[in-house]
Amino acid sequence: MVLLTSASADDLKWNVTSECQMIVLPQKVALSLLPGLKDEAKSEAGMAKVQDLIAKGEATLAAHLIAKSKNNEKVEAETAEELRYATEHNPPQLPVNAPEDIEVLKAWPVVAISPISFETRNVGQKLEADVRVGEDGKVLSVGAVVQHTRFLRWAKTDAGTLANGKQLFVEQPIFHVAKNTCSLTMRNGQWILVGVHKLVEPAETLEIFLLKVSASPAP
Amino acid sequence: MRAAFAALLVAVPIHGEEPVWSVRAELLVVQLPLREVIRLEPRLRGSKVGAVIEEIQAKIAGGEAQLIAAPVIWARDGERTFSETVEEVRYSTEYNPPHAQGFFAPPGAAARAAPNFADVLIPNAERLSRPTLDVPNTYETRNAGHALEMEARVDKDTRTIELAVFAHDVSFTGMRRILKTPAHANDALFAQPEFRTLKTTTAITMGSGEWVLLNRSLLTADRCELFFLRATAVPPLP
Repeated sequence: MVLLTSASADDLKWNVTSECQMIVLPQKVALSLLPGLKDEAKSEAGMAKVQDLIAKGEATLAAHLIAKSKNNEKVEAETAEELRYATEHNPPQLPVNAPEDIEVLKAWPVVAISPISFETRNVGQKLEADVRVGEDGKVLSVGAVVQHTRFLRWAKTDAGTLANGKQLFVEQPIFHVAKNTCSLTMRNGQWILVGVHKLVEPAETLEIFLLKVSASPAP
Repeated sequence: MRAAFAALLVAVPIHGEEPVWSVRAELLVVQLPLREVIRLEPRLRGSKVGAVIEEIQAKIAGGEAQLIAAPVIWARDGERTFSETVEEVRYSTEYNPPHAQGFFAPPGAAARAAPNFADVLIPNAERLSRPTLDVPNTYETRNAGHALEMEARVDKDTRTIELAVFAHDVSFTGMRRILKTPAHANDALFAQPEFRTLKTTTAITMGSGEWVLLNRSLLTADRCELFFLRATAVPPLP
């Protein structure tokens, strides 16, 4: 959601584009690239190398979020899958008129643990930015939140054993979150490495967050 | 120092703000064999840590050291930021108790006027293999992974940084059964998670661009985990 606020003449002077690339790299490759990406003098070359790796299929572009805003206004871009999962369950209910016979009950055809409450989690990538443009437009003051949430797997929680030996489970989702908050001063149009995260899956990979903010005079 | 002040003076203010320095902090979390840590020990303090980092990075590339985390964060002078890479481990903390001690939960159990539904229903010979049903209905989530949080201030000399830092590595080590009865012999009912936390909360003064050893923990009899931190002051942009 973009919050519209009353703006002064200065605030209307610039349009801002915030971009974030989330890139998954083999750990060895990433470790060799990181020193260059952290060094302002070499970051352009480092970025070009990363784009080359993506083009060759040796790195994976997980997201490229772009959000446009006016100067000095918060902006948010999100790509998410809304994953719903049960958080409360009722135990199985025995029908009132069921026979009290162990052999019949052992073979009872339906035993259901009923979900009665749900929650929703957004799985995907998100960029929030709050940018203030310097008077000449060359320097930007940036506050940003960059986040990548992944669904990893369903984890089974044991809910008991039936008379016939069958195990009952309820499942809960396991999420992985890589997140950075950052505040920094950037050059207009400069790529900056703002996050490095080691991933669980795929093994031996790192995900890097690269942020670029550009300001251009509003028409 | 004079050059630093000159940089402050020429920096472009952002809508009337004073130009501020930024700080980039990098945390390196690695696991190493204890014998390696003992060998490196004399160089883990003071100005030689940078050379040790290069050695450790070579070991990571060679598979002799394990990289656990390498987060990077940026903060403008005086502001607080953080980085986290976590797996959200969910586990049950409350269960619906089994009505009538097992089998299904009969809504009419009380109405059946049986003091114990299972006693009526299940012959003695089968009592030990009596079914169990304890459906989890409340969960908690614990973040397993690593986080780095900092608030930095660049000193007037611009070569040193005052840093309030919080770094942790939380590992999920497995589920532990807390109930062992014949009825629960073969299942993981009521299992609860176990976590291991390595954590440092501190305030330090460090040289810009210099690596320091922040934390060292013995994980097992022969393995250590080390936290190294480097903070670099970045001047206001001209």
